Amino acid sequence: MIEALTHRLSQCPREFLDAPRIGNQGVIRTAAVVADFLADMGGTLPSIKDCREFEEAGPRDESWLRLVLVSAWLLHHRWFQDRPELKENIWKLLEKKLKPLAVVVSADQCVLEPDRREELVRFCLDALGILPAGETPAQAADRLKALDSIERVRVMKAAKEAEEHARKVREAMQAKQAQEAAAKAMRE
Amino acid sequence: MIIYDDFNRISPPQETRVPEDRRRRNPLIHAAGFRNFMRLKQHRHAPKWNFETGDRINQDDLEEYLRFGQEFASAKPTSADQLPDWIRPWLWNLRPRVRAFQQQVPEDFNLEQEWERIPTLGREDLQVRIHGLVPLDADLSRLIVYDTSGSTGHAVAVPHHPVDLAKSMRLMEYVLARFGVASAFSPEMTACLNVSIQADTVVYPNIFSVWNQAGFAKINLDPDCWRDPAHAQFYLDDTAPAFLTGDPLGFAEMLRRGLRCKTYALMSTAMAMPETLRNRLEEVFQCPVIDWYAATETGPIAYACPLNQGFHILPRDLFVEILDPAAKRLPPGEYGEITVSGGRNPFLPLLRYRTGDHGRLTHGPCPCGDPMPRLIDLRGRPPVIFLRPDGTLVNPVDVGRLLRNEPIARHHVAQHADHSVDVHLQPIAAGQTLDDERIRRKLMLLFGEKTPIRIHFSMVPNGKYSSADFTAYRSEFILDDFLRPPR
Repeated sequence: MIEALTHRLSQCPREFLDAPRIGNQGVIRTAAVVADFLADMGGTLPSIKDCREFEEAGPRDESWLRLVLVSAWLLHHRWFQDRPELKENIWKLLEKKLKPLAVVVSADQCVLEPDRREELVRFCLDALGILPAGETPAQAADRLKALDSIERVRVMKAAKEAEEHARKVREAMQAKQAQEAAAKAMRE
Repeated sequence: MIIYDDFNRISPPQETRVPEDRRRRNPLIHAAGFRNFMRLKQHRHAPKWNFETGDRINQDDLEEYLRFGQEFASAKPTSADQLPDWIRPWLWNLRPRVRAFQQQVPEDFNLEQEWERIPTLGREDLQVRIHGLVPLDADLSRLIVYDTSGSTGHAVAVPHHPVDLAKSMRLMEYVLARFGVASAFSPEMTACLNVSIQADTVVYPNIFSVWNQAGFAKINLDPDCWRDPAHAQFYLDDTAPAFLTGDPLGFAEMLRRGLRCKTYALMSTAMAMPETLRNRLEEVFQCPVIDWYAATETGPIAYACPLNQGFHILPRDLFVEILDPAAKRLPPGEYGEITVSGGRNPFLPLLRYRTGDHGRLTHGPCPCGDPMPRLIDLRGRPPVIFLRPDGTLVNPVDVGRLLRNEPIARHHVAQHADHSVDVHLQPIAAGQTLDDERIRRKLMLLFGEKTPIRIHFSMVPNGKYSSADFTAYRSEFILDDFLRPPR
């Protein structure tokens, strides 16, 4: 299952990697792609109001819109199309859950780099509550954790902050005033 | 210039403007406080001051000190089988800002049920990763530093805040009251002299704003610290401190030299006070000798019960547990390592910090009336008596300071009855060569030229000491050897 989906990502058509339309810029209308994709799953089409999040996105949301387009391609696989009960969760995934991932990985990476391909596949399956075939929940969670770009970036950021904090503490402890200390009525 | 012909007959100073550098060190000092400071500083028998510092207490600190006093007075002791109420909000408030706590306690941790699973902290955490305990949002501009004594062979630099020192002084007031000594401070008096005997330490005068600008001086009884060693007695007489603080070695030096002081209490810290010394001090000074259990990392932990029923836990914001070697919390009465959580140092919150000291904790009522639990069989670090051939004392703190700048991980110094000294040094890097002759010469300056000093690059003598109870110093001399009158 994972291999099939990562292969599908690697075959993502060029058009899905084109610039999303934001204001007067870009090519692809993300809302239209999402609406078509969901229509293919059956049921009613999302309204313009429903798609406002995609239509009113600003320049800062470009990475997210690009990831929505690539994910729409990924989930347009027959396996998902045959499961209309996933529609609501797919909507939530595209509209909300992809946003933090889009901050740390690009759509291009999710197509071109093997690890990021697998990460996007597993990220989507996890968001939809689907366990990859042949894996236990613990194995799936471990594998996703190992690929987790959000966590990796968070850890790197935290490590950098910790290093900076350690430097400031060292400097403060060596400062003249710190060394002069203060009168202490009693030694401890 | 202010001239004093006698401490108690002071020529009124013409100038009471507080100089800027003094105000920087004592932000709340006023004219009377400055006069008090100058009395201590310019006394004609004063020590040869070698340092300048102050209390650094500002208005906000003073208010925090007062709030702390109110909270302290109203806090209730916790029963033996439960965590104190304050520990949950304290921990969850700090955890997002203290990286060490994030590593010790998972986010979804059930504190009440899983407390014992929290990994402990030790001295190594302070030596190597102290920044992990300093909150990320701490205002480092108020940070000050003290070194531990290094009685385990390696000193640790510990960050403090002026206000946590002030709060410790509030605890001192409480303990003095427990011994019937009222804390009525004024800018016309000396609250306290801190007495030490060291070859090399700072000495300075000061006033404390939280004690109504009463005076304080840290003095060193080492004869080289005075223009004339006889001046020490004059200074003690004229400054008339309400109480003395110090360690057993400093107080023993007073006994040995016949130095006297009319005062209301002697407060002893830093090492265990031997009972024989305490009895002699009480007899000579005619006042209570109050033993404290405290550490630079933790601040005050406990004080000796007035009725000799162990040591009462003192701070209400410190949770004390007794642990076995596997970090399991032991039931009341069982002997183990004293471990603390909480405290009032904003730069060093502690979560299950192993002190390295051992004792038992009992929660039963005490005839003295203090409701706080007691540490009994507290095995603190006993004073180690190193002697020069002329009978004068070498303070182990001086030995530690002298070795501190050498590239050694640990040291062990043992003195024998013939005065010879064996020094065991463990280099930081295996196979590293150290200049033993240079180290030997430095130690000879301290112990005296006639003292045989042998340097060994190996640890530890006969493998007797585990790291848990490692003590850097041993001596075959005892206190009585030191207390003999000078030759």
